[in-house]
Amino acid sequence: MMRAWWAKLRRLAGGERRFDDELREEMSAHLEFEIEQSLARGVPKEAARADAQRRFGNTAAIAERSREAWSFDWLAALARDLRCGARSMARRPGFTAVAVVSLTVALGANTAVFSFVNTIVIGKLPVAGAGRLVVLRQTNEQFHMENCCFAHAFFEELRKQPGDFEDVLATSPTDAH
Amino acid sequence: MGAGRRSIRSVSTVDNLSEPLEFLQGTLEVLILRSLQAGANHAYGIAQFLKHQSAEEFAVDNGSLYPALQRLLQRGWITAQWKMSPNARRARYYRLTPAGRKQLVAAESRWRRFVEAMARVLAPEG
Repeated sequence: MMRAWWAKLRRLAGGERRFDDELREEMSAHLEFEIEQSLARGVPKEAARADAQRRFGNTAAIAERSREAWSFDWLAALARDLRCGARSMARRPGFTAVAVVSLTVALGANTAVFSFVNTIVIGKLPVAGAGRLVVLRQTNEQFHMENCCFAHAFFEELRKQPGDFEDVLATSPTDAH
Repeated sequence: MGAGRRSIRSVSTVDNLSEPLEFLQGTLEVLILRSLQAGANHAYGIAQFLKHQSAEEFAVDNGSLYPALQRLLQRGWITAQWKMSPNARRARYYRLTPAGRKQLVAAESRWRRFVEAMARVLAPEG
């Protein structure tokens, strides 16, 4: 089932033109094989192409029918899959309910996590001049900690220095001073 | 169309004996899958294989073969790949997928049952 959908998607992504080009090339290679066969059977060279084309059939009609194989079956299969899905859900309401609830919870959780990450990491903070905000961190050699913290004295020093920052703000774990 | 083709000999049909055998619905797909069982092949090769294996009873019309290949591609039972043929011509080779192989096994047993049942019904009562 997955494989079939994958084939359909690839066909959609490839587009009509690519499909037509490939089919044309495929049929022309096929015709060459037929010509070789005609020559092998002793058909004179001048007549071989016509003989091969006669055996091969109507190129345009074959291409048309090949295209139709996709468009018709595609829709029919989609309708069939949808009907089958609906029927099997109706047959097992308990399972369906569990599946729907799991999907709902999973989607909800994902949305919540994303909106959190979006605000904190990807998006800008909802304050004026958010683009000018910077976070200062350093590697603390004493504690072998990367992306870490500063001593309170450093923060005080930074706050007193004019020019570099409009304002400085620090956070600290509650048990540290 | 049917010029030079041998007719079916052992079974009499209602219609003209000189006509090549018509494919029943879905038959051609199974035959294509079977022809790819040994390895990848292109459309011409598949047609040749079927003609040869059926003692020329099956003359595959390209107007049926090409759409059938597309249906098989669509169902994910075969894949297509451009390759060089032994006589150095670029051709589109079709290959069975694992799903296609499974399908072939299932279709084979269905066909055997069908053929046996047909033979039983058609056989003179005794």
